[in-house]
Amino acid sequence: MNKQWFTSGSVITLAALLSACASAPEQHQGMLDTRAAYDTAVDNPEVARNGLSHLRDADQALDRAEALFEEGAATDLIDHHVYRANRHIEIARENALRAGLEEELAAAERQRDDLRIRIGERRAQVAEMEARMLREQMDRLQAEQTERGMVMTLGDVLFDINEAQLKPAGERTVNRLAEFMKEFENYRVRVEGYTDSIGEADYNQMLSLERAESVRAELLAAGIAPNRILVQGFGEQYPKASNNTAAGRQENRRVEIVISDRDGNIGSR
Amino acid sequence: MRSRVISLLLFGVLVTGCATDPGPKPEEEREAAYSAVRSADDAGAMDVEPSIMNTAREKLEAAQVLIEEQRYAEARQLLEEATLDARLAASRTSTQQVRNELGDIQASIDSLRNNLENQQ
Repeated sequence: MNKQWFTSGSVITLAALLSACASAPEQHQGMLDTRAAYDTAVDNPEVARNGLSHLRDADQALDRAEALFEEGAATDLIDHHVYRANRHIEIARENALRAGLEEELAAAERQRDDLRIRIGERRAQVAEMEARMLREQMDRLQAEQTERGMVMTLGDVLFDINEAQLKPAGERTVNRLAEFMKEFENYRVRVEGYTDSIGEADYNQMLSLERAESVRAELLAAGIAPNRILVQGFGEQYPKASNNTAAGRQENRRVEIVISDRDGNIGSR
Repeated sequence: MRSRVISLLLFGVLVTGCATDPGPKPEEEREAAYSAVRSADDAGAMDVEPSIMNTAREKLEAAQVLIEEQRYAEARQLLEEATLDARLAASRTSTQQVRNELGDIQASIDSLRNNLENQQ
């Protein structure tokens, strides 16, 4: 009796559960597609290298789905594992894609750094070349380093005696200065006139200023902008040598041209 | 007697096959899913993969309801899926960031090249 009950009960239960679990279709297209996608991913060395653990998880999820399919399990459950497998494959592919981009990024960074170094070197070269040209120019102008900066001196012999007029040799010297100023456009000059102590101080003051002015006129004629040229007459002040000897007095009769620094600042007395 | 054993075995197999027992609560899966969604969010995945992120969030909400109904197995599936959705979104977001960086560097390379050519 008991045995009978159990047997019939089990048949009923079996039927109920089988219908609940629904009969399996002949194939699961999503599962087949995912298996194919997995095979493609595994064959791709980039994906295999960068997404190994996700590929392993995808494979396990697919194995699980396939086993459930064989058992005729619920479609929902199979779908779930197929979904997981798909996501793992997508993540593996994404990681591979990113690894490739990261390599490109590293290469681009190297390229950028290399360019920066080359630009730095080029700038240093240009600066060095400019500095060398400047030194050569200063040498040509026979400018000397002083507390006020580079100073070029036009001696008395470059002017007519007791006159402000520049002699041709003086004009040539001033034109060399003009060439320099055209080439180095940031530089400015202050033209300072000086005399010896013979004669009236007022006269000497006027002569010193006029000589300085005639240098300025020469620079202007050569095309130098007025705002780059300052002029000052010092008369008898600041002698370079003794006014008691002819040689000393000749040395004191002069025009000094103070050249600014590269930013246009001029040192003053 | 033999058929009784067989029927019991059959019953057991089928019950595990389409379980009705709620089983253990998917606590770990829930924790993992929430943390995956949170870190994807922090990485900015909402800007890069909004639809995947929305899917993941909907699954979190649905799983919460299932847990309250003690339908743990179904909840577990949704949570596992949400975790993977969020991880994919986060991964794509990282890729996008690398792509953006690459674009920036390419632009600076172009401008440095111009600079170098103009110096010559």
